[in-house]
Amino acid sequence: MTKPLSSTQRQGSEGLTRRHGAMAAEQYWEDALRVRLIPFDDLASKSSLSDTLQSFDDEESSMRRAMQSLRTRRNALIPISRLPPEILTRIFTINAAADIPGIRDKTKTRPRLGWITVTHVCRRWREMVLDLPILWAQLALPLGDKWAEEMVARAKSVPLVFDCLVDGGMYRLTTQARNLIVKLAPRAKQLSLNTDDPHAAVLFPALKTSAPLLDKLEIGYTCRYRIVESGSQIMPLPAFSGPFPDDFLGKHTPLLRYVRFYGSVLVPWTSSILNNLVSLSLHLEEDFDYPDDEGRDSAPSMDEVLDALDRMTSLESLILTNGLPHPTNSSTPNRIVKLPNLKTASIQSTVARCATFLPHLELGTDVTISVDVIGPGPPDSGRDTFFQLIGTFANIVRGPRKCGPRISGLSIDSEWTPDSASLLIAAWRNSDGDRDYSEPADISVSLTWWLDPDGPTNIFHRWSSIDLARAVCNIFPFQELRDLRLAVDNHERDVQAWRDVVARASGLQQVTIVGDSIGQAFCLALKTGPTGTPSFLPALSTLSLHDVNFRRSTGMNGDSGSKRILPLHSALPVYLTDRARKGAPLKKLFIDGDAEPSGRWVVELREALRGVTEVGEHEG
Amino acid sequence: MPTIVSVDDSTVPGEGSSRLLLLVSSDNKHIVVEEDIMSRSRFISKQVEGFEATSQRHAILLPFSSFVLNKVIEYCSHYRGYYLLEDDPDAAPPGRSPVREWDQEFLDVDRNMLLRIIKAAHYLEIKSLVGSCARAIADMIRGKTTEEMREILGVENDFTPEEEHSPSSKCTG
Repeated sequence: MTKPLSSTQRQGSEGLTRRHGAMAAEQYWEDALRVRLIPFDDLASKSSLSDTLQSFDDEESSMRRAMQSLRTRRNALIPISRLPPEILTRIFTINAAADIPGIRDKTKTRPRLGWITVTHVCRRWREMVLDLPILWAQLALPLGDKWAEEMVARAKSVPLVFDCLVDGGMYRLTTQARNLIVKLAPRAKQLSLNTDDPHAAVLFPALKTSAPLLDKLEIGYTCRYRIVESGSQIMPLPAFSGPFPDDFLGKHTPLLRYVRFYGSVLVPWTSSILNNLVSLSLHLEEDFDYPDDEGRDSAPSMDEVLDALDRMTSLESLILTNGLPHPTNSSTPNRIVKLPNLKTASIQSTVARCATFLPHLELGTDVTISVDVIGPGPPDSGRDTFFQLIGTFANIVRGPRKCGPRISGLSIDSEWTPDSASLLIAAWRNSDGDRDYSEPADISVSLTWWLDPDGPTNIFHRWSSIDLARAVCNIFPFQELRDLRLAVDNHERDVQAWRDVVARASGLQQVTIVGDSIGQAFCLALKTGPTGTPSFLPALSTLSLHDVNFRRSTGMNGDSGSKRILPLHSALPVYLTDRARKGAPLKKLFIDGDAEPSGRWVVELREALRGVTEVGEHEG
Repeated sequence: MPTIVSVDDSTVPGEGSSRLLLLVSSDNKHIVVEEDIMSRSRFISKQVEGFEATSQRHAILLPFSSFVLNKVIEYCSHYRGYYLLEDDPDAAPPGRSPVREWDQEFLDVDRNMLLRIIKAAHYLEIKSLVGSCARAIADMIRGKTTEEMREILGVENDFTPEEEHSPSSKCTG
């Protein structure tokens, strides 16, 4: 039953609703206190001091509660509180995804609460967030076992997400946390465990219960390169101590679609948990050659890998970084595995492994495959074998020639020397025995050499511009080459070599050159071309020249001191003007260098740039 | 509550190749906008379907100011003809995504304005704009302390001292 309002309550309520302002409120509370509190004159006459003090404490406590109530009412009227609950829920959800609890700031000893901090802002937010099980379903194990238990309770029946970075120095998985993961695996929707700690890695074999809700599994173990001090010695930690058990996740993960393993993890190729995957991603360490505890070679056989892929009929994305079987560990030569739904594949391995593995795949009609060839170039003694392997490899990618378009893109990021890369391309071209062969138009080929001029330890540092030009010449028979990026920092120029490049690269659409010498030589080659007239790359739309010198005084022949007109000044405007006259102006030109260009050059360039839609220039 | 009033023909510009809508803001400003621009709003689309059923032209009354309405129209104009996944009623809800670059500049407004825009977007059922605003607000509070969040959003601490430190008695975060 509702009590009738007292006269004081009525006055208070009216006072607020009528907006009497601060004076009215002050008057109200003065009056109220006068009624409520014992006058000072009477204090001394009070028989029991403790009773009096208690009554003051009670008043204070009540007033504090009244203050809280006042603030709650005020909060209800502010703009953020007037948003519909579903919008506030969305804001909290977005915030929770980005502000993960448990991360430890370097300056703080305790891990951060992350998004949970919003529960400390006001009552309404706390009530809302406590009632959003989806937020609590991502367990923050680094916050401690009590928090983990609390989050599990708050998540109610929502499938759980374990996303756990156990990085030795910052967070160690407690036994209790490990037991919690094992116990709750059947409720897990996502299980992501990345550790460099051998003590945490024992968790993986312990996961033997079925995970009927599991959709995503990520396991990373990166302790291989971690070293520990053992007495006076520094010892490397052992790699992951064993394979997953046969009954890993109870062999029952009917909803599992995404799997990612990285580091030193022995992939459970024979496990049925991989059967329904949509995405398989392996990023194994470069020299991780499947050792087991006893040092035996426990690499999977080609048949094991092919059997596993054969079962993955829904596979759409396949990333294999160092995950291929050894080439000598081969399968029946003509065995074919169909992956009809595969849309993208990215394979990083040696030429030999690619060449052994790829012939076993039959892919759909719309696959983009990226092959990252790694490892050293072939030794002189092994060139014949290398040629043969490249030939097999090339024929796989060239499938369209024989059985319709299969692969729409090929990217080779080569860390080889230009000589080796040239060899690769030459072998590729010769593999078909048809010297006039050109790649199908629907194959997009890009070659990138990452040559960092600033990297003193980079082996490419010593290469000259001429080496590069010659290497590029060997590559340009690929009419499909659209994008060329080169960087080198030295003072050698062989304009004729670059003329050859310009003459043969008719399909180029984009050129990026880093380095003054190479940039100036390229400009001169553009102007003069192989025939002495401005060369014409009809498809070229973007030219980027970085780190070029606008007013360097060193000449083409290395004579220092004399002020010369540089090719950048003389040749580029001529080339651009010629293109504009032929009705094919360049679309984008980016130049950055060491200083402001001279006034006359700018005028000439501007004249030549009519039709260029975008011009970028580095500050200074 | 219906938000439509009948208008006479003189109020709405004549029919051309592009159909026009008359939107009336809470401060009684009349804003004419191409229907195509506002088609991103499910609310407006439903209203327009209603017009077609009755073959009458109407003004649409909206419960927010012309200042806010103009911001929403600016957003819809910018994305006119663009496909945005969030606004596709048939598409699955998008996962985590950052605020688009243009949206970031567009939403670089004061806190109260941002809250007004998100309310308007919610009313008009423009999911992409609601999403961008929500991400912008989430960005404002991300990584902040309790006090900073209170200050940013003008919230008072209304907890008792006992309640203040933990959402539950078990944890003492």
